[in-house]
Formats: sequence, structure tokens, C-alpha cells
Amino acid sequence: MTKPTKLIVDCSTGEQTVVELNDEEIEQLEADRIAAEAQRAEQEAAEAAKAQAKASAEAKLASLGLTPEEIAALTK
Amino acid sequence: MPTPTYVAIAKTVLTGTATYVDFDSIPQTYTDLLIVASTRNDAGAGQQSIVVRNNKSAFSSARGLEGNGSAASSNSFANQGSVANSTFTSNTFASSEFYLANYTNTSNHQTSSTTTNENNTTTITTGIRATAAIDSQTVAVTSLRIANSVGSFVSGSRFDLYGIKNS
Repeated sequence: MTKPTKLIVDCSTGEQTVVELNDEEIEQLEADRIAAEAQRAEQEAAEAAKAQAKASAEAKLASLGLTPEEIAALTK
Repeated sequence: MPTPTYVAIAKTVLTGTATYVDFDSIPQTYTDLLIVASTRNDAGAGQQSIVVRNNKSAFSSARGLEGNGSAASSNSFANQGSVANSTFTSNTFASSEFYLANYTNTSNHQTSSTTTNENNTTTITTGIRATAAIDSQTVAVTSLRIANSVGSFVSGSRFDLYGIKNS
């Protein structure tokens, strides 16, 4: 299987070289992927919970007799 | 305040895929560094992101704001900028800037970043993300690594590194 590559730009010479990642970098790559996925899942869960709470609050306000326009004025 | 002077240190436009783009042997003769990047990667759907690692070291997290025209939030991010992924309209790229202040200092390197992610459709996919990050390294920054959270940068992605002098 072909290994992922990196492009190295040497700022002192301008030389650009493409090389394969070493084992340590590949391990880091996997760790980065897991961390990013976890962070994304956490963020999506937080946004879903917030949306659910907002919908619940709006429903309660409506049951108290507030019009949609009045609820919008309170929540935006 | 003196007028800052931008000097182009290096640039690269990918002609193939690359998981990382490294800038090595960065001259220590400027005050700050600026990376301007136009990026797209080969990962699938999901909010893919990129990060700049000082001296290629592990990155902890950044704090930032994100908005897409209909919603906005404040979060900790495992990475900094966002990147166009393979589900985006062909040949669209995210635009990012990463500003690293006082990179020759031996402590507390602060990086701010902004990214806009353009999908060239009527729906804004990611919108804009702005972050601030700090590292705890005790050495000057002599190299930078630009990395994806998932996948590799594709051909056409571009990275420019500028040095900025304050005098």
C-alpha cells in the first residue's frame, strides 16, 4: 500500500521535495483523525441539544399564548 | 507604529496530493509570519479542517468562532481552519490566513487564523471560522507544518509563507 506523502519546502534554498511519511507521522495522522472526529461529534451533539432545548422552550412559550412573532422577538 | 513590510519567503502549489506541507529552515530575520493558503482535500463529507503546527509539534486546541449565515457558535477546535472537501463543487477551495506573532521568541507563540469556505453554491457550507491558539514551546519556530484532520491536500492547493518586519 502506498504511504501518504508530505511536501517539504526548504525556505533557505527554495527546494521542494515530496517524501513518504515515516511510521511516527502515520501514527500521528491517525491520532489527529480520531481527535478531529471526536471534536466534530461533540460539537454536533452540543448543537443538536441546543436546538432541541430551543424548540422545547418555544413550544412552552406558545402554550402560554405567545404568538410566533412574539416568540421570535424573544429568541432572536 | 512603523509600517509592516511583507516579504515572500516561499510558496508552493501542489501538483499532486500531499498529507502535510512543511516549511523548513524558516529565516529568523522577521518579526511575524503569515501563511496564506487556498486548500481543498480528498476527504469525504464532514467538516474537515486544517492546522498549522509550530516546529511540527502536536497541537492542543484553539478557541474560536464559527458561523455560516444562519447560525454561529463559539467552540474549542481540535484544528484551526476549515478546508474544502471532495463533496464540494469541483475546483472550489477554502481560503485561510494564519498569523504567527513573534515566532523567534522562545515562549508563547500565538497564532490567529481566519478561514472562509466557499462552495460556489447558494448554500454556505462552513462559512467563516476565526480562531486563536497558543503553544507552550520554549524554542523559536524554525519550521511549520500544515496538516489535515482527515485526508490529503489535492492538486491546486496553494500555500504562501510571508515574513513581516515591523521596522
